[in-house]
Amino acid sequence: MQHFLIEVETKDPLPEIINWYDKIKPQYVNEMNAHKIKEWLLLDVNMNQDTIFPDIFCDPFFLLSKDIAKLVNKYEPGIRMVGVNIFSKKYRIFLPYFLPILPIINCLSNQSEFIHEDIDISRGVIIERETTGRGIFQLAGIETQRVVIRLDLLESILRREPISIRVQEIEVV
Amino acid sequence: MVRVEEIINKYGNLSAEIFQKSKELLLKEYQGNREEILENLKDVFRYLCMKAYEMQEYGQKEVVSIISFFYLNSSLLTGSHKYLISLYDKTFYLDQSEVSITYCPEFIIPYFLSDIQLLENDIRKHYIRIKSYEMERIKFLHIQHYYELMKEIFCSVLDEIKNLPEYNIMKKSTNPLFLYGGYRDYAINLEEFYAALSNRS
Repeated sequence: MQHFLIEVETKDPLPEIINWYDKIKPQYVNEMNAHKIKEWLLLDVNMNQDTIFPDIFCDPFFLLSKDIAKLVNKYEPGIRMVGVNIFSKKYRIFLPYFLPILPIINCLSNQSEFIHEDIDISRGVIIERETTGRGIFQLAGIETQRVVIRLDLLESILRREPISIRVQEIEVV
Repeated sequence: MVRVEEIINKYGNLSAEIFQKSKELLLKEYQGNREEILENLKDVFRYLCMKAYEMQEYGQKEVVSIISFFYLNSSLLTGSHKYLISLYDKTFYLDQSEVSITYCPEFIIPYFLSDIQLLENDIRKHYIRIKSYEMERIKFLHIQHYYELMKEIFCSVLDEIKNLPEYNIMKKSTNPLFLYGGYRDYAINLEEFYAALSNRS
């Protein structure tokens, strides 16, 4: 089945999550350490009147809007979701998002092309049987957080007219 | 969010008008190159049937009961305009050994891109700072016309597909269900649609 890298469309004016480091340590965002993150968090954002709130965030973490998180949960009920409220006092914005603790799967084939050895990929090739049928997961073996989504889950998301999502098909062997 | 709904409501009619003009040109091109276009589609289908047949020979695939032509909204985001053609057993989406292939009707892409350019030019005259996600929504609105057109095109080749030796060699139920629609979305029975279309004409 087809798989895609999913990310936010950065051409749109997005909010910037600030002062997050004390609340979510990047090294805790994995299945092993996620219990060290609080159940619900409040994160400030920098924004302006033109800002739009996408259905996914990629920076500093991969976050999902409430609707998309619900859907992901139907496909992958085992994925733990940490609640994150996005907050702007100035614009009176208070929106719920979810930080999915994605499985990190080592499925990149050696046909993949890497940027600076293991920083990122310029061409992703995954080995399907290594994905163990997961609908959404994070790629292991690279420093950049890259999230892969399976076609069926992606199509279900697209039915719901998501905002500011960008996808790139990756090769599957 | 309010603005994108406003744009969609306002441009629904223009989208249909632009499509009608493109449709005339597109159908002319289709009629002129029908054999070549269909041969490409038939090749894809032949390959799919052979793959299913080979799996059936090794006992890896059940009798084919559902044959689907699904448009992929994801391919609109990637710009690849793909349709997923699949052979399922009676368990449909739960078929663990589904056989699928993607098909790209390349002849529609230039028309679609030109339509979107026309729409975008007009929208930019009336709205400032059109955002990327707003244009994506417009594309999703406009592609629906092309999905309808492709439904008719897939319909028109059903008989030819059923006559392919590769189709007949594959183990299938007496009357397999031919579906057209969105993947994991609403779909219709293509043969019922074909019958209704034939009665109308």
